[in-house]
Amino acid sequence: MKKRMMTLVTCALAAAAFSAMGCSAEDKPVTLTLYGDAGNVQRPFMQKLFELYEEKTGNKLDVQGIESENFETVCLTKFQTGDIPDLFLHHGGYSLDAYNPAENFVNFTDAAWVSDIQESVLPTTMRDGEVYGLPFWEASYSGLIYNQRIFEELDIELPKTQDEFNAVCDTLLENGVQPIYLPLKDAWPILYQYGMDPIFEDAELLEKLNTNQITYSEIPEMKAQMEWYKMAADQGYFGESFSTDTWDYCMEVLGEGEAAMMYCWDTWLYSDYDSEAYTYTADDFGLMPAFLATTENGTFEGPNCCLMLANKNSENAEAAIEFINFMADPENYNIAFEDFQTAPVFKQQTTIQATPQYQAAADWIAEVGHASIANPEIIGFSNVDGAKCIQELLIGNVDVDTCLQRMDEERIKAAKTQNAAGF
Amino acid sequence: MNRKKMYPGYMMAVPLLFFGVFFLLPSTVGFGYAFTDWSAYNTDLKFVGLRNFKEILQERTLSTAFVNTLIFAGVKTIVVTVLGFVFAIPLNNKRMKTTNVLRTIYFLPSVLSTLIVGLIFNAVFESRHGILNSLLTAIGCEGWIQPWLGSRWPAVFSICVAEVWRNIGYAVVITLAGLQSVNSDYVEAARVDGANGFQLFWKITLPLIMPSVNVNILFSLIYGLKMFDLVYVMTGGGPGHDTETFGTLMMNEMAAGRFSHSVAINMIFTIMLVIVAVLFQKYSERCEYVE
Repeated sequence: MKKRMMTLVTCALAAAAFSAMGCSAEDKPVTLTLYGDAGNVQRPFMQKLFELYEEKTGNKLDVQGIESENFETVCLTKFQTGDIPDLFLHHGGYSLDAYNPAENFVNFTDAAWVSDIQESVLPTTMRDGEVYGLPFWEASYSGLIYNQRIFEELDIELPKTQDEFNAVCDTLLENGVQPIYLPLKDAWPILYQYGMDPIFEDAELLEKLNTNQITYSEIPEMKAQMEWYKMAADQGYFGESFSTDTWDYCMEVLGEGEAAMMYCWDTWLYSDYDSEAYTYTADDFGLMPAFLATTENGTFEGPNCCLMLANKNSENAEAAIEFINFMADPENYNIAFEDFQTAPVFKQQTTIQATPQYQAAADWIAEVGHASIANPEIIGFSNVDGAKCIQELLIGNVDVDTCLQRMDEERIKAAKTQNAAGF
Repeated sequence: MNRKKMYPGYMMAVPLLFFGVFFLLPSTVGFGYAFTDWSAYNTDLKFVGLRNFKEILQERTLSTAFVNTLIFAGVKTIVVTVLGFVFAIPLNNKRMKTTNVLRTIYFLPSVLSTLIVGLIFNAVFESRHGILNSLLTAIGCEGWIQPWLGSRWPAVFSICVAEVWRNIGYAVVITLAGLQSVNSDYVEAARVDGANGFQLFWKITLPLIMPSVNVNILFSLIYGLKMFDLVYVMTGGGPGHDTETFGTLMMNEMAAGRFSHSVAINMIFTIMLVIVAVLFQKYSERCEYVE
């Protein structure tokens, strides 16, 4: 009996040793670390792609989702202390500069997949003319989502101008429907940056703002926007409980028809909104421009893509580059985005569908659509810091001028922290 | 003093070493950053003297945070201490059979994490489906309905209510322990001398349990001044900056990447806490009865 046991143990050990010898260092599975905003790494197409990658390559992904509110600080601190992941998911634009892309990330300018990126999306992947990341993301269009059935029932025509929009809000109010759901308590869903895109499309003005030669307070359109917010709150366009309304309730309020509109992006209706749980389904909603008084005809905000970046100094740099090439493979991204409702980011995307809202508003988007500028390009911009000033305006703590002055103070303070020239 | 009962001084060495290495040293070294330009964007630290303190003192949110912090600490200290008595005195009645059950019930909120307490009170005070507003509607007091977390003073009030609820258990347990330690001979003697209920409490019980009351007050004061988590969960310091405290200010500065500012606020705050604690210790001893 003892002999048999010994033989068995010896055989098992020998088998283990042989298998270990047979597995060369090259074949050894790699675990890639990935840092990203907790909400962003959870996107369904991301999860699908991660699964596909692990299944096909045998490599593993250690995905670390960081809480949205502290994402930048946590990541900047980690980068500063040399804790740089193999892969990093981050928006393009000015905010990427803090991570020193030229020093830390692989330059993909010559990668084969660059030519596969839609021309409208390509600029969001670049800093100083170089491509640093793959825009593996949805291309959503933002504006006001509105309940088409309520509009039809009340015989309301879609507004084309700011005045018409205000009249629509009045009509909705008269009929007992809250015009706009504004989750003020959470600050970020105020999404006031939508109104700022048309203002700062003027490159000269943007440059002046980014070199501290002009402030929000001196820009009439910014003042008009804040005045409109105040007027809308006072008129009841945001309902009675707007000061404590949160994003958590937006589905319920829109889905049950309590409110008719909300500042949002089209793909949210298919990626987050629960059509089965409420009276109104995603298809009952349409997309119209965000009317925020900064432009006469409203504005749509174009996509602001997240980029997948690879750490060029990591010992797993090669595997990280391979991962991004894997993501950029049409076969793989078409699986990940299968049946996902979004406008295409890649030219060979065949399995996605543009949202019905986007399709219906395509001509309108072409007419009054603007690239996302405020968020990625204004130095020191923070949609939360600015939104807190708007909170104070709407609950009556400050007037419009003080609100703008405080928004400037917050922006300048952030720009100084970032050591931006001119501040 | 019986010196034989005292441990020799070297027995302090190991605890002191641990305290020094893991608390004192990091804390004091950390304060050094308050005099630098350390931020998420600055890797080469430079000494900037008192610049951070100057900038912080010019912050408009600082005065709001200061006032709110004092309100939270003051209200919590007074209400928790008084209610601690109110709930503990009936529990001290030896004829009461539900003492243990009630003590557990009172202590239950203290066991819950702040996040849970914050979520519970969000559900109570929120406007859309809030329990309080629904209750007010049900009893016909619509005039009292308001967005409790939507403007400064109602929000401060709501946070105070949640904080008191969370801490009442500790106060009850500490006060009850004090009450149970009172020698019944004193009470009996006072009764024989003709003292009434109020006199018994005011002249006998209270002085004897003052050490317990002082512990309650000190804890409430310090934890009230350190108020952060509940505010963060319930209002995030808002609306605007209306419910900011020193704790949330530190968090905001840290989140904005201005680490040296955050450390500087912490330093100011620590000095404030030490002053309060030392003064309290000094003056509270006067109220304690010494046998």
